[in-house]
Amino acid sequence: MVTDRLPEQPIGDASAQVVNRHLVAAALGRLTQEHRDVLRECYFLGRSVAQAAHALGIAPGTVKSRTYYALRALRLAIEELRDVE
Amino acid sequence: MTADPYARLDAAYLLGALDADERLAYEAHLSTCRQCRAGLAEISEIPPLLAGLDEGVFAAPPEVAPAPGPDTLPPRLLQAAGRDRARRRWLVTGLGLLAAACAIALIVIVVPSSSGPKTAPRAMTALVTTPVNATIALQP
Repeated sequence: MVTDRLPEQPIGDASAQVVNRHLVAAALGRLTQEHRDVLRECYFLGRSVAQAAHALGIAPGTVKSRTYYALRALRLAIEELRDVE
Repeated sequence: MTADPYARLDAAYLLGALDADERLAYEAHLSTCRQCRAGLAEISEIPPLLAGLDEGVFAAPPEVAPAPGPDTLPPRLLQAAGRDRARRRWLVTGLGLLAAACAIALIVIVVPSSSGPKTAPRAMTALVTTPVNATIALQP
């Protein structure tokens, strides 16, 4: 029975990651555009707080607080979507 | 609101968006502030989940993505409604013309056949009132 567990583990992890990507994309869709914008700037485009602030036309402090609330909103949305599944 | 100037920095820190000075100051603060450590731990597993996503998911939610050219929708609806009205108008007009043609045909066919052998030319009169009136006379 030991041989059964070994191949199952990686397969389960891989499919879980595929589901996660769709779930995370759906969770992002629940955020406000402002929250998606700061995540796009700071994560996807790898910009600094100052660069993101310049690109979005907002204060650096606003970038910090928006990322703060954006990641928490994203975490909440992911948890809600996980509960639905 | 909290007075802690570092309290809102956890997300920018995790996303790697803080400049070097601010990052070092934040890390030094973390070692002394349990609340900020707890705040950081709350969301530390979220940024890795963003790996591998397309840029498009940051642009607009697929569920509420505006249809191409939302401004064109009302004009299109109006056009479609106009076409429907035009179709109905033609249908009503066509049926009216058909009914009128049937009435004329009845007059032409029924009246002569019920009047026996051919006689002198005579004027025809309408049997019923129809929307379309016509007079016709037979000549030898």
